[in-house]
Amino acid sequence: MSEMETHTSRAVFVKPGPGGWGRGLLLRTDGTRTKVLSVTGGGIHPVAARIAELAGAEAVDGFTTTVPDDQVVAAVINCGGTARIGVYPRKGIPTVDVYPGAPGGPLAQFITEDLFVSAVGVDQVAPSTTDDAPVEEGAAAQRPAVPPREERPSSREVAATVAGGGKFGQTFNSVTGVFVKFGSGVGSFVNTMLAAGRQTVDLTLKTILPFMAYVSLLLGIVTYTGVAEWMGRVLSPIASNPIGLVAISFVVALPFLSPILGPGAAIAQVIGTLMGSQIAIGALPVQYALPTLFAINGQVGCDFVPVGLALGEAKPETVAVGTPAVLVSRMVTAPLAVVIAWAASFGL
Amino acid sequence: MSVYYESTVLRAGNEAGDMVEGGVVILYADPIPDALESVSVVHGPAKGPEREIRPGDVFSLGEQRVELVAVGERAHENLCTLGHIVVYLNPDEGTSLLPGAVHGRGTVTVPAAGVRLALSGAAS
Repeated sequence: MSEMETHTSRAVFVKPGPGGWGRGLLLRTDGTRTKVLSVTGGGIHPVAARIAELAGAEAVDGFTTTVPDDQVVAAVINCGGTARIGVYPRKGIPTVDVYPGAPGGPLAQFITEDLFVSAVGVDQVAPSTTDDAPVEEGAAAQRPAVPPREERPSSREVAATVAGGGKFGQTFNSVTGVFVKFGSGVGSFVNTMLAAGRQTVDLTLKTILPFMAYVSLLLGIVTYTGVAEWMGRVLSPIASNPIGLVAISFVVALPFLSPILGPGAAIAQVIGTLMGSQIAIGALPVQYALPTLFAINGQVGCDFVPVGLALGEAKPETVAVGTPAVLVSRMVTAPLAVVIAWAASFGL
Repeated sequence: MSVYYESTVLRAGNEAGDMVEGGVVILYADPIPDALESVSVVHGPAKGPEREIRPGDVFSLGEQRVELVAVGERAHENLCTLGHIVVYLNPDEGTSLLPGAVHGRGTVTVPAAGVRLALSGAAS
């Protein structure tokens, strides 16, 4: 909704300066958000004044005036990297750093591209040219949209500011162009590697480790209650004939059993050891080895399916559908695998 | 060792404890915006520092002492203008020094109001 009041709501686009971080922020005032907070010390920073002037807002000194969060269009900071750089993004307030800061410090996780831009000088603040987005109240207005492509400075524009026109300028540009290309190639390669590393660590911390903790818990429960061990003992007598093996594979692949039989592999241990020793002393023909292997491992991975899907960044709906799909299909494929293994064992 | 900056702790924000446990002490002089209040230890210096901060100086908070091993390029300016300094305690090897930060060795607990805060070092 856009309220038709007398105050003018003009969008302002703030792009990162040289060496800055972020994609740029689209800032605008609305009914309640009318103040640009300058948290730089020493009064109102010129950048805050400029944003306020262009957006039709009021610049206030954050150190002397208290402004409720829901009235703040943006916070302008000159942060050395720890406190201010994080606390304002954490509140969902778009934050403009006049220094070339990048996410860091204890609050780094809150510093995102939609909320933070750095190395901003007065020249990086400009009226937005595409001002057609409706002004929304509340939370939606807190998160400035990603700027449209035409508002992001292209590399050519940036390069054009390096050297002026004229003959010397052109020669200079063509010579430096090669270095710039090479440099940005190397830069993007390093960036890609860095992003990959960051994602890896992120995934390890946020997905893999919690999963390991959950499996440990499950393992503890299964080991402590001895349920899988008990099942192994119950099922082992029928393991000495092919029909029994198919039955075992069907049982361990039952969707309500397979996820709890997976961790610890108790069934595989009990029956595997039993059958192995039987085959070793010659009580059972060696052809039983392969089908048994498939029969006692019907549950493998069933506990991991939801996590595997999450690792592949599947949507929650995909996980909700995919997990039962795999579990139910196991009931068919596990006995089938035993039969195929059985057929493949003839002539051993 | 002579003291070149002296102040009194006024209050600590409700998240300052978490920050200190995480090895970061954020100091700000009064007055301070609410947003920063929660993560900071707020103090009231009588006057600005008499000289710039240098590695080897000692930051003391009551009886607790932290020896500074590295000083960010903007730490001094922040201290002069805002009474703001961020002390990273025993950072891991290879932690990059942010411009506004100082790295130090020692342990600190969240100070109570009224505790004396000081920076001291060799006389300039």
